[in-house]
Amino acid sequence: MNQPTAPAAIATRELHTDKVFVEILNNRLNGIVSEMGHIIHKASFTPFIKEAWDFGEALVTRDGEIFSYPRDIGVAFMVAAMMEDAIKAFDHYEPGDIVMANDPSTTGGLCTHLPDIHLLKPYFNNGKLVCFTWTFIHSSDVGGMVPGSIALSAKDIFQEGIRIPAVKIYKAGKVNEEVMQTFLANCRIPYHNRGDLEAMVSAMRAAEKRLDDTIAKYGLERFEDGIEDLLSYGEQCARQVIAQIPPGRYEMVDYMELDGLDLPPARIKLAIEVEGDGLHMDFTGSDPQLPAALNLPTFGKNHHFINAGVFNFIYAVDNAIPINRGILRPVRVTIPQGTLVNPEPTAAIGVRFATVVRIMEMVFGALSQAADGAIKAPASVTGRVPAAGAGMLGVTLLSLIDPTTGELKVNVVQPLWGGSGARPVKDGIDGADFAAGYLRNIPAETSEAEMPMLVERYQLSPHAPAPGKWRGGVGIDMQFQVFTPSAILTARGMERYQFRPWGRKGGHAGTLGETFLEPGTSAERSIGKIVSHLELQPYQVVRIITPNGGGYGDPLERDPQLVLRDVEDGFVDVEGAARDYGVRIESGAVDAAGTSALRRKMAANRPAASEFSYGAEREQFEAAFPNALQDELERLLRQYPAVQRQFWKGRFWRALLAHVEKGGKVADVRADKVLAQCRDALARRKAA
Amino acid sequence: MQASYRLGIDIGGTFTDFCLLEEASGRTLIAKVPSTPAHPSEAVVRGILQFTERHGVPAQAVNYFVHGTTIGVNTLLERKGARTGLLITRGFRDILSLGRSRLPDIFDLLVEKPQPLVPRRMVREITERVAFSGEVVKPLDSAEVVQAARELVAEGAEAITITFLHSYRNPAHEQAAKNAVSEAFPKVYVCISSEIWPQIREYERTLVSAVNAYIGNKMRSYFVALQSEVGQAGVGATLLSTKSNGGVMTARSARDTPVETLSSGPASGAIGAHYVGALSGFKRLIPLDMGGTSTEVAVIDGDIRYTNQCHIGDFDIALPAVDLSSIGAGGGSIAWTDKAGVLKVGPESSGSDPGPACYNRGGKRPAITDAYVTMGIIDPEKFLGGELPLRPDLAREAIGTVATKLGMGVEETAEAILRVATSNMYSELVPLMARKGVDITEFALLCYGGAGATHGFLLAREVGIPTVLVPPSPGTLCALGSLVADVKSDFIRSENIVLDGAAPGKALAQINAAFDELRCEALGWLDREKIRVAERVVARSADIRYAGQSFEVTVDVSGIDFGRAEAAPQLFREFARAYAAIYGQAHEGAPLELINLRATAIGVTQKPTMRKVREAALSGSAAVLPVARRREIYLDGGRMEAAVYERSALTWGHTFKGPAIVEQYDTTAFVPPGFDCRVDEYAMIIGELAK
Repeated sequence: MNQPTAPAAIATRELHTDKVFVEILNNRLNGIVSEMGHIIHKASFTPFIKEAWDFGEALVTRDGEIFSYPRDIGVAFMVAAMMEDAIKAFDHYEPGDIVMANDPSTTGGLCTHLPDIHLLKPYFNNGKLVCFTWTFIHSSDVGGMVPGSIALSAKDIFQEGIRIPAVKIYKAGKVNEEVMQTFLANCRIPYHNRGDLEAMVSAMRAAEKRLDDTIAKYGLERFEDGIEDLLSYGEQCARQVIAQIPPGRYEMVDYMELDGLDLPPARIKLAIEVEGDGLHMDFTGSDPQLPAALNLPTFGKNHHFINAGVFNFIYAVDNAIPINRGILRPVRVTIPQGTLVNPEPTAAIGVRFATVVRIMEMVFGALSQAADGAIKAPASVTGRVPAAGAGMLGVTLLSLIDPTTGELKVNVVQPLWGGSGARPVKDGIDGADFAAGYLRNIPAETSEAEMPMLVERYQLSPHAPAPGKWRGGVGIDMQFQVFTPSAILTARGMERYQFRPWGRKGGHAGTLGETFLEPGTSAERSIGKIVSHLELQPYQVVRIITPNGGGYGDPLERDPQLVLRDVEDGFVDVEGAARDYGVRIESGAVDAAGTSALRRKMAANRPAASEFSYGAEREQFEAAFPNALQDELERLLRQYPAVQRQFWKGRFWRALLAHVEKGGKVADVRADKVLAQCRDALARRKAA
Repeated sequence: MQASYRLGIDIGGTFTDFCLLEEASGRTLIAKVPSTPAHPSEAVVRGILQFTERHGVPAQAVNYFVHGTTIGVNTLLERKGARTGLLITRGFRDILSLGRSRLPDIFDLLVEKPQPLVPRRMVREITERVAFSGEVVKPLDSAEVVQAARELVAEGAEAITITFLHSYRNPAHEQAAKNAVSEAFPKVYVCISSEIWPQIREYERTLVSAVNAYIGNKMRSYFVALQSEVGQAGVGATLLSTKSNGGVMTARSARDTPVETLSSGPASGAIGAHYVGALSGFKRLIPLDMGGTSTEVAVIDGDIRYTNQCHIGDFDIALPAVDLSSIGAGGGSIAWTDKAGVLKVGPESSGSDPGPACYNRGGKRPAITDAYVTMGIIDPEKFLGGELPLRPDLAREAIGTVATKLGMGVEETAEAILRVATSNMYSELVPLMARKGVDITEFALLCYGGAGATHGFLLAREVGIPTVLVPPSPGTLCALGSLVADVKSDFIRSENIVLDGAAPGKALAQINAAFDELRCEALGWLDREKIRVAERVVARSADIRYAGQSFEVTVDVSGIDFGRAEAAPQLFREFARAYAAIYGQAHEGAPLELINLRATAIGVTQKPTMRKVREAALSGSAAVLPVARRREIYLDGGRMEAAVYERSALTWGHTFKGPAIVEQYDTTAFVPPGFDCRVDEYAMIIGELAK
């Protein structure tokens, strides 16, 4: 079938109010949540929030659905956050109560790692509970095994800081000092954390005043009807978008890197099934939960970190959509328990955003096959979905002793990301990626004012962008040194050191991340990913280069003038222009005849382009550990408790490598037999 | 002796506005001449001649001559500036394209970052480094600078901007580089970040300097031409230019720092609003400037509020400016329905070409102005004094397309469009005012621009502003503002001084010394400007935060003597007050960090005495304005009769009630029911929301 699909019939609900009032109310509410964000932004203390905007704010129904979320401030990915469990933690609220939590299990996955401190405040109007205001802030420290509280090497949640199940930190307007002091006593930066909490409370109080005005103007009944209308309006817009995607099942596989754990990369499997005006996201077959902090606590729900990519796609098609949870109502999910995307409650989760980024790109990969795939979709949904970007959001934290005051300081050196993937209709973005598009970088002059360090470089990566008809975005190259002894650098969320960001439809894969010590000297050392931390010697130079995103489309179809522009701007050299794009450049101009000839020759002598270019590293890995074998193993591992499955996978992996080393063929491997051998080996050891 | 005059001019994209003030009598004359974008001074000269012809005022009688221009900002917005090169500290080549990173739309997969003003090929890295302390880490090699500049000039650079890290603290490297480049390439426009605006944060500082270089050549030749042509026309007065900070400077200064003029037009409007508002006894104002494509607001709370960063086109420019914020739609903003059938207004605008459907210039989609016409608020025959007759049938037709989709009547839809547009403004205005610590109910809305008075009362009703003001000439308030502005320039030092209440001595001495230097700089600037002023003032302020935060609150410290020990507790008090006004509560005892110290040189100009419109107020039955005409309008879901008045018939003492329409050459004021209006001695309409 090669026809545009007819939009499926959409069940629309009549509005309680009307098509003018919903817009008026939505505008008003946008003003209110935006105001909250700006108050947090300005009044908060934690370093990462200061410049990087890692916080959120929204208005939430009594049932826990966000009905207004700002588009101009704060993090991008929490529109679909589910508040119902946190709200239900108490069966009674009174004015002035504020619930605080950072613990995933008692909030049903609202909290996804411990540094995110969430507050929920019931809003009363004339004694009636109408809705909740919500804020969160990523604190730079809530205790745990490392400064900053986030370490990839954490084995369980108990190593990651203090856990606060949903508690009332304010009761009827009064601070619960016992809880507050307990919390602060477990943080390395109590002064900052207290300041942040106060900033959040100020924001929520301001919102209440606005809500009072709004209800006074329109009446409570119309306000409450309007909230319901806004949610179903969002839902309806989303269903109209989904209904235009050709129905079908679209699959994607990608990996989380487990350097330093002696484990092969952990596979995530996703199938998106487009069913009329709804979507099913199925993670069956994904790897067991990990003995590292990459697990994502979704509790098997239609979680904001699972459906974020779907939200972006819908927004890219219809950007007038009201930003609320209704947009994600058409999504349902299947996420098996015990996997890294639905771990047991004690699993380590600190770096879960790395997994979120990967899933978001897998959603893009699946939706790309759907919207820009073999079955032609209506133009309204095509041409939106990018190739893989750098796929990482790394945060480099420096903990050091202030040479003048002798105090321990923990500061973000720079949040790091790479280039975005190329889009079906344009190049990728240099030095910015969708997964981290909401963040701001930190000026070198500010870092140097606050810490004894010198930022020697902060610019685009020296590596050429991934070729394609549209080229990928270029990553970041950062180099710095610290002057003081006993400085510890932690870096989390550094991904794509093993497998490249994928290219699409003939576009090449991007580049890998790199870390060097003493770069450009004879002592230069490539040290791979910083898995947990690095103790820096005074004046030791560190260089981190983040990945370039993947390309899109056939590089031989790229406009030669765009290739020339990249040559002039120093992204591509003349040899690269000929080698990767078939463009001949002579004395600063495109040689049109030479280019046509070269392109004809290159086109004739190459294999057909694949749908996805994953890069040689992943192809080699999958040759050694084919997907079918991984599938078989995953099924076998289900017999073990979730926390032990990766142990057995590691044993299996080493046995597989040994088999190949001895000249065995991968094709001959039977997973059940190899696993049984591993068990036997352990049993023999017990006997010995 | 011949009367002397002050002339204020605002050169806009469509019209050049003139405001001529006779100094002795306070009489003002206004004029509007079509702009001549290709050669802006033509319109200026034409306007000056018009005053001679029509009012007998010779050009020689103008002894104070201020003008504001949009050439700088348009050059930037249209990206028609000089081919500019950048020299930057090695390691920061992509500073202008990386910016502060956050994407303009964080949800959109097809989003683009703004194109940098300097393309990558026009950037050269220079080996040099200064540390935060100001100490030189790596010395500068002038030969390398000249070689880099040579390459850029070979690539066609007409201007070169230079930023080195921490130059706000130690500008020696930037200055040496500037000298080297200027000497080798005297024709190239060179500017350095430490001279334009020496503030910490390398991207922001680089951008300000780059914009300056980008628009520098064009502005320089513009000012030279204007000075000579108005000189030939007979104006002997020094040519002054308005600034984004609401002040004026000599055209000579403007040639060096044209980046300071980017938002000078709107800034002058706010100055004009401040002036006419104060004249009528209103100290707390929200000036509302609504034009064809956008609506902007400022805050006047006794004084005009300023900001340290303003948004122009794609960029946030870190320079002191009158704090103006766009709150969205203008008269040209388009109404449409989305896929779910919900009514939306903007952000797309029909602008002035093709303009709203009723302009009959080919626009088919309904704009806000079409709604005014359809509802009967604007008389199609009287638009721009009848110079642009509007087509109400086309307005109805365009609105009809949306009405059909909504299943509503045409008038009903027109009103819905205004309500949605008003709620858009709410969503911007309310958080904006809260961020500025302004309780909107204590302020008066002062409306100007083409549509300000048409929409202002509706907005006031929506957000709960009880008082609305319409000045006598809402269309030329910017020109008036430029006439009454002070001579003004800002100076800054980025210091990062920590002030601990327990041991403040050393910090206070540092602060005191820095302010002394700033004061010398400020007075030196006033000396060099040589503009006749009544009084010279140096205001001082500081950007302060609690140690550890990263956003500063600017606190006026003009009243604190940092040479005395009381300065510390005084400063803590002042900061706590300013902080609490914005964030609700202060943190007692926490140490402060002073990031930037600022001084503003103000040459207070002699303010004119405005003339009252008559000797005494009308009273009794004479004060009730006779209704000249009545017109049926549609509002609040039904038809009603509105009284229609001529603005020229309104004088001191008149009173009237909404629904009413006041027509004048450059705008139509619309007063909905619920407002009681009076006219004061300066012809200001003062509308109060009846309790």
